[in-house]
Amino acid sequence: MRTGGRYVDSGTVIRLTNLTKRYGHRTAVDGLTFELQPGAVAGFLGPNGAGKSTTMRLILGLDAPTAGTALIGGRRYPELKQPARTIGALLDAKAVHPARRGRDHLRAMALSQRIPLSRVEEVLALTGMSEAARLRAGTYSLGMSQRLGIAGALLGDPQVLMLDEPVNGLDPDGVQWIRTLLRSLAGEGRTIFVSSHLMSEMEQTADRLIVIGRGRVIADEPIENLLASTGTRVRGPQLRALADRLDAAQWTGPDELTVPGLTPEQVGALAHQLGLMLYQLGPVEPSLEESYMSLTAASVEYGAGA
Amino acid sequence: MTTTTTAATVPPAATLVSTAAAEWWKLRSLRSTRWFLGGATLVMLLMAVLESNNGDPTTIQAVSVAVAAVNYFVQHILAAFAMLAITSEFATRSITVTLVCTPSRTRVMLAKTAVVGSVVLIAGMLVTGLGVVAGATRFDELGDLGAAQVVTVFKIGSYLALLAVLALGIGTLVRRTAGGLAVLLVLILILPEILSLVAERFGLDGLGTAINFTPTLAGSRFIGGEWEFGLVLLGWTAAGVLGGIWALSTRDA
Repeated sequence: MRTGGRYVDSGTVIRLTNLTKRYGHRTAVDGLTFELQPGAVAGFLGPNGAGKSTTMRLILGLDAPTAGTALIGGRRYPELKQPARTIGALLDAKAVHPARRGRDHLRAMALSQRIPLSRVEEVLALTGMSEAARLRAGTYSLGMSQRLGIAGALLGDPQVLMLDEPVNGLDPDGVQWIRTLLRSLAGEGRTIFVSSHLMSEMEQTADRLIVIGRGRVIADEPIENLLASTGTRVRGPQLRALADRLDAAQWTGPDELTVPGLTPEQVGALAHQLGLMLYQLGPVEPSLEESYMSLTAASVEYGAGA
Repeated sequence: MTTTTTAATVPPAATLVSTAAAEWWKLRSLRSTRWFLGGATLVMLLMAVLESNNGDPTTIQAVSVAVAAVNYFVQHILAAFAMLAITSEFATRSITVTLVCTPSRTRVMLAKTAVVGSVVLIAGMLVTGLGVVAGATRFDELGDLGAAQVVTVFKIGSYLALLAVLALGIGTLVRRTAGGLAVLLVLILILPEILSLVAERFGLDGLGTAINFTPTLAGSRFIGGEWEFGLVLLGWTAAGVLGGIWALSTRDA
């Protein structure tokens, strides 16, 4: 399928193949390979310094990869005929000349892309920045800068939206707003790629999580998998008999057992068979935060030691 | 997959002209642009009013005062203005926005060259013209002004534009404002002085001639009527633009 680099009605796929970036001896991005599909929000997670921003800079052609490729609809970013209409990006909300008014910042962006100036007013309204746009960008709070940056990313009505830590500095209303926005844009068949170092942000927004640490993919799974139950927790006054029957069971409290690998149904049936009274029986559902911590622990530890 | 984009929905592709339009908007939306251009005008007028020129009575004093104002002040103000058009983008990191909007680094550099060059050409001619008229009023020379002075004003404007674009190129290579200004001042002020001292001390005539090929002295000779030195200046400017394109294209933003 040749996309022609313009509107890609079937949705624009981003494909990274062995994407690698080294700065001297330091490897910031280390052989990333994954594909982003239209119609879904892909969360890009990792501790600070894991290589998330560098990956996005490589996708946008701001930095040249040491090895590998990042293709948008089959093309490298600089080869796109209509970059802003294909992919809208927010990398650094504060990367705006502080003496320039928000509206002028967007107008310059629009002029360079031959996007009608009326679109500037549309994205300002969409991001709630119509009023603030007459102020100089240097006076903005981080949250306002984020909104201006998101307005800029939306300017070309792009097929792909790529945002680096967009909720940083937003108030709770703003966080809710951006979640809704991303969900609805994905619902329109766009490809959404959004990074964060906070797992909790992703829990309610992303369909899929790509977790990286030290420049490598640690996990790349649908979010349900990361939230899937890992066992059963059971509470009762006399669980010794149950513990004796289940080798894997561990005491996680004076009257609480955790049984990895078994469902509540299995544990409940056994307890009934043994005639035990139970106070509580339920699946162990790790919070996304816990999954994330256990996934990244190794890379963070290594990072601290290096 | 079978959906074809019709001509009506395909937006026009960006061009050098649209990039230049964006660069123009960036310049005009900054207050500092007005400060730089206003400052250059103010200094020129002050010189025209205050500078006493005991020069040769056969030349038009207003023109020599305007040339002095350009040499001492105006060229540095406009060169700094030109350099900031790129170094301010690196300082605020807004260069990433520029390059995301316009991935062709060559096009970004050419658009900046066109806009900065045109603005300085026009501003330079206006400021110099104003200075000449103000000086001529003061020295009672208005009746002596003619086509020759118009040509001189045009040449000064061209010199200022070429120097400004050279400064833009240096700014693109160096990226930092302070470093860029240092390189520029070495090139236009210190280098000719040092070369001249060395040439004099050691009696090196070849070196003495070479000084004329530094940007400022080539500019003086060009303004003084030696057109071929305009080409020397153009060479410096072209080197600056090519250096800028090279630096933007090969380095990470």
